[in-house]
Amino acid sequence: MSYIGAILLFIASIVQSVVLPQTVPVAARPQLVVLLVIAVCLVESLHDAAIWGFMGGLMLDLMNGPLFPVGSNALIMVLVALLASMGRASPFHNRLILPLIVAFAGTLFYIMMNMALSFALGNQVAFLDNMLRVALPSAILNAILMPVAYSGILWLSLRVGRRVQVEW
Amino acid sequence: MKSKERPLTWTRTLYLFVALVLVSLALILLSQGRQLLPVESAASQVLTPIQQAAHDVTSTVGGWIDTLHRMNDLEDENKKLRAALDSVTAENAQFQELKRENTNLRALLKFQAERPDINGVLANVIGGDPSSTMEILTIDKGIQDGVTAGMAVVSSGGILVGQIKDAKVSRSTVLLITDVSSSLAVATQNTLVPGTLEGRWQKQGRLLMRHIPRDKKIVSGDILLTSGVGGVFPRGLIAGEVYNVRQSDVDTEKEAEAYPLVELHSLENVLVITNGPGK
Repeated sequence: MSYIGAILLFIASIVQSVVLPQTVPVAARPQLVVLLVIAVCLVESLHDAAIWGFMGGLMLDLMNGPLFPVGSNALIMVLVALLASMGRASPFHNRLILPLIVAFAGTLFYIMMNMALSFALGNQVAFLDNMLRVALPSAILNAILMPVAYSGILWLSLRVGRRVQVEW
Repeated sequence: MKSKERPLTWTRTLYLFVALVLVSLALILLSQGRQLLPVESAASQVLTPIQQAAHDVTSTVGGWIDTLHRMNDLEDENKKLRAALDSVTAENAQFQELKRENTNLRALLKFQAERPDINGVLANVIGGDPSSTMEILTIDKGIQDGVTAGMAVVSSGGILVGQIKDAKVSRSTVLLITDVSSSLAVATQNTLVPGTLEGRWQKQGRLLMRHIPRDKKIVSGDILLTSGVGGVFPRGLIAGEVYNVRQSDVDTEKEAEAYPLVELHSLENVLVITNGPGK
């Protein structure tokens, strides 16, 4: 596994699980690991994005509290990577708007899957409220941040070549 | 981008994808069955300190940012609080001043009530001798207030302070009884032993009672009152207290060292007796 990818995922996981809950007073926050996975998928491949997603999700699982079983975020992130890979096949692949749409949809999907998982584990979930207060604003934030993430991963990919990829 | 040595094929990606999904599901099942507890515990031991450190750093940095963000507000608030504090401090000082003045005036009123025969002009002490060679005070009342040279001056409690040495239109100089040029007739309060009380400040002393007849008994602690002899000071004003009596074998008179019963240099108000014999 590329050390750069591992470091990026680790930092994103820390920020996601520790820093953002402390510094952002509202529930709507950017989902950084989702953002990285989607960016890697669009810049590199589903192969790489799936591995990034699995590892990033696993880090989130281990850093989060014991509410969700280990592997749940990993599974959802792999599915997010799959969803993002569909954007690669889109006829708008090379358009600027595609990363934004994929970021929006991928984030929405990630949060919805989390809600579904929570519901499946027997928790009460306010689907509509969460959609309006958390999922949609977070998806918009991720769409806004996507150009930065996309540019960063693209720059890294061009600069270090295959080393940015998470190797299997 | 550089190309990989082994090209990515859809089949390979599919296998990977399925494998990851299966591994994730397996982890979920194992985690639900509490069989991953040792792994989770080990991971927790590694990650918890890092998360704690990140939390602490975020708190610290967040505090800085919050402080920076609120810097202007804090500055304004600080200015307002300082202004309010200054105002309260000034008010408090004014209040203390009024309280002290009130105490002095009450004492003066009490003295005037006790001595209805005495009329006076209340004056504020506004200075002393800048050269420090004389024991004098400057007060803010003068000729226009009825103050003239020779008048007796007492403290708010009626204790003798000195006499008016010089009077101008709106201010006067008070020669304190401790100055070497001050001399007045006194007598002890209980035994009426007469003598002359002289100032000794410039001679490293305070007051010296002289010309005490040898056969008269005078002891430490005796209170000295003005006797009225000489026609300068009204009779019965407290002038000092004896603390040491001196007598040699050959002298025909005794001497007694005394000190004034008021701190002459701390006076804020005095009463100039305008109807005394010295006017």
